[in-house]
Amino acid sequence: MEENKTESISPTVTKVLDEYIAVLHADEEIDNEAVDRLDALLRKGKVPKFDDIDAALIPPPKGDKP
Amino acid sequence: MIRIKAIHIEEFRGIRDLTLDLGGENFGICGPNGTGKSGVVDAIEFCLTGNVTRLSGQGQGELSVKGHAPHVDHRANPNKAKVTITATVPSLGKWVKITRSLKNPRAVAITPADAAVETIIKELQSHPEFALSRREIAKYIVTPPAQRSTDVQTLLRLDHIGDLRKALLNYANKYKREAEEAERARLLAEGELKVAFGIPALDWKKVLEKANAQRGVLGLPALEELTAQTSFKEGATEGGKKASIVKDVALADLSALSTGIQSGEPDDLKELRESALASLKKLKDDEKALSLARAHGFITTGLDLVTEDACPLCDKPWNAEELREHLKAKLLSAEATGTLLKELSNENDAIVRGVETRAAGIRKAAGYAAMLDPAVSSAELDTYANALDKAKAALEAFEDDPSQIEGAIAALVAEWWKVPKDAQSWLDETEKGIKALPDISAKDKAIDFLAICQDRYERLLATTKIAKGMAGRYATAQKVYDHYNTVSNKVLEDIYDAVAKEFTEFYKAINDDEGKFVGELKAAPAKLSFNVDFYGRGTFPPGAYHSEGHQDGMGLCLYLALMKHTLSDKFTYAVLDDVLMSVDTGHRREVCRLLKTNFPNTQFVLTTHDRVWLQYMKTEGLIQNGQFFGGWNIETGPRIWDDTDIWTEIQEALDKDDVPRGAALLRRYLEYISAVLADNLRAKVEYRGDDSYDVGDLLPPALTQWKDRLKKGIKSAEHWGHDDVIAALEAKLAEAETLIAKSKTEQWAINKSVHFNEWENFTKAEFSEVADAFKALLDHIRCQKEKCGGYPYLTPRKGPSEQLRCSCGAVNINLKTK
Repeated sequence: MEENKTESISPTVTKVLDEYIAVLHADEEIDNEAVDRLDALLRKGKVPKFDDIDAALIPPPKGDKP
Repeated sequence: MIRIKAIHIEEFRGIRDLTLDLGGENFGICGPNGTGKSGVVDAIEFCLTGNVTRLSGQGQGELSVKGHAPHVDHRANPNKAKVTITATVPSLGKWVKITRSLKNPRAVAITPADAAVETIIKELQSHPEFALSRREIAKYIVTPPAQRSTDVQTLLRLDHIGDLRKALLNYANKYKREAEEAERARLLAEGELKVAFGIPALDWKKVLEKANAQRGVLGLPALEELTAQTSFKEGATEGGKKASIVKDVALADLSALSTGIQSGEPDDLKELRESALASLKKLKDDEKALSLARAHGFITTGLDLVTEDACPLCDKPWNAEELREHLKAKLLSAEATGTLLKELSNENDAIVRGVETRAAGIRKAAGYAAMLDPAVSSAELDTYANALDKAKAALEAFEDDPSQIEGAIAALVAEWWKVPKDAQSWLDETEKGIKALPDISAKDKAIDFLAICQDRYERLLATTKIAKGMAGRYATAQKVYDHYNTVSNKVLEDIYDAVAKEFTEFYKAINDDEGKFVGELKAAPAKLSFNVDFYGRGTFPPGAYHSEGHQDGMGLCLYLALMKHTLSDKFTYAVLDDVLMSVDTGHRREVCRLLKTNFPNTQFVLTTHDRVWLQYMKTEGLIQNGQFFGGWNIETGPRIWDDTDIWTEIQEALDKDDVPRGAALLRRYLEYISAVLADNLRAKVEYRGDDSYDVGDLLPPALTQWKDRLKKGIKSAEHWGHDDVIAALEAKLAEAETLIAKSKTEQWAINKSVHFNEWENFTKAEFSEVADAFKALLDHIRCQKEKCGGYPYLTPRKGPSEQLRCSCGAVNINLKTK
């Protein structure tokens, strides 16, 4: 539960994140849904751990394709 | 954010019980040193944040908020010490009462309970920098660039930006390592497939040719193309004899191994190994660097753990922010070592690749040795392969933990490419054994060949898939990091540029003599250089040529520019604790105007020990209300002294027949007010090098100047033919002469019996007459408008006086005759 708490982030951090997320969205090689997940993660105001970033950028496979 | 309406302080620092009514407006607190001004600042900080920087900041190791913030008589009863702030939250249009007790500094009571208000209060808690003391101002100005970078980044909440950068970099680095490892496995599989097919390069056409040749032996149709589903042995039936060693492939494997062994250490790896060894030895010889390298990973891990206000192991409370700063400073000094470690990591990675390939070759040979009949001992080969594994593990261990330096050095010194003699003889034996194997039929040979090629092909496909996946993840991770780096650097550069520009404007506003002044903030990795122009002779660090007063002014301007960018419209209040002590008098009015004009929505609480400063704040309209602390003692705390209440206080003393107290009050008040008047009216005072002026030194010349300025005003009005002004000023002058005469101020020098030193010996009636005379005289001088009530001052501050005016403009006497 503690992990899910959201910390307030400063206007400067918000500005960086706004521009950063826009750049990531503009990058066609990066999946938009992954960017959205990363956005939500970074706006929690905590420094994310490796696994958190990994879960955001690389979602678990939905099943093996034939 | 909030605007403070009132603050109530109980048993906190040097204060017993004090209520200040700020009214949500700018507020000045003035009093000599040691009268409790900073106690009010501490109380505001404590109530809003639960902390008192003065007690918990750097170098305050023996002090603590809980232990030393309560009044000294209540050290054992911290529950008695509490602060309550009543405030409005303009953005929400709500009132709030915030109470915090020293019994539990981390708990704050907010009434009424409201989620939106609580969020605002929580945000306040994260901005302790709203309170700026003179001691802290230096950290923005006279400080090493690395420390300034830390301080400014902390103020701007940029530390989180740095933390995110580090998290994304670690993420990218981890995938870099995994991608490299996967690529090594793929290269190994590719090498083995090439050996099996006996081709120098992976040419798919040649692979098909070789496979089809064997399939032809078996009468199987040729494969047309090579895909992930291709089976070289498709259609082939298993031979009657179970294949153990495929002679040709095994000999090819051993031949490839032997070639590698005979050519010794690969040239490219030799260069890298020598470089890595030299770096490791250098690191080992430099104890400090080694200690930093050893601690690097530990500190980084520690930094990740400092997320809460208590140790995660023993729950002992700690100051998380302070601890993080401490650890970051350590990491900063380890930066050079960090670069060295990065280079070592790249070198070791290439070496590990060579070691891995060799170990795989030896293991394969050991496998063949074991399969021979009779078996050739593979023990020495296994020992050598294990030694290679150990070397690889040692190099990897060093990467994870630089304290493992001895193992890494040993691994590089051990000459991994040299095969131990015993192992070499067993290799030769194995080769001999394989060569001696009877040739099998061409068909069985083809079946075995296709089976082993299939096995190696599938391994290559699997490792390629993993390597490709890892390379993709690494590419994404690296991109995610690169984008962040680029964006955050640009945002920071823009912020620093904007802050520098704003700083320059602010500083120019308070120093109109520095028209070409320019300030520069330049960010470099982990550094923030701050240089300012010095009279067009170039830009230098502020401490290089500028006076202390100018540096104070710069500190304030930089602070304001940073706060404006940090909080934007949330910069609704700030406490400036004696920060302008050494700003020269010529620039004080400009400072007041700067605060008033550029920050109309910010509530400033300003403390000063300089009475004239407080008066400037009033006359410039920066503050409407202020509080004078007339003294302090341990029993009662600060003695509140309102200059409009002083007459009531004197009367109360007289009501108790306490003439000495009344006399002391009047004298102290006149000391304060005569300094204000002398400064406002530019009185001709006999100069004293020690700056110790008493009432007798200041008041008579100030009153003489008052009359003189009124006369000058009459002359000016006569010049311009303003009869009504002449009449009004003549009446004012006549009144001034009468009231000054009644005060007997002009007789102090010649009649000892009326001197202020004698007041305490007066009868009640005699002293009452004196007090009434001074009250009438001062009321006569100040602006008659109730809302203003300020003492008039001359403008400009230097050169011929042109105007005698008050801050509201109700008093506005022209002194010009030309």
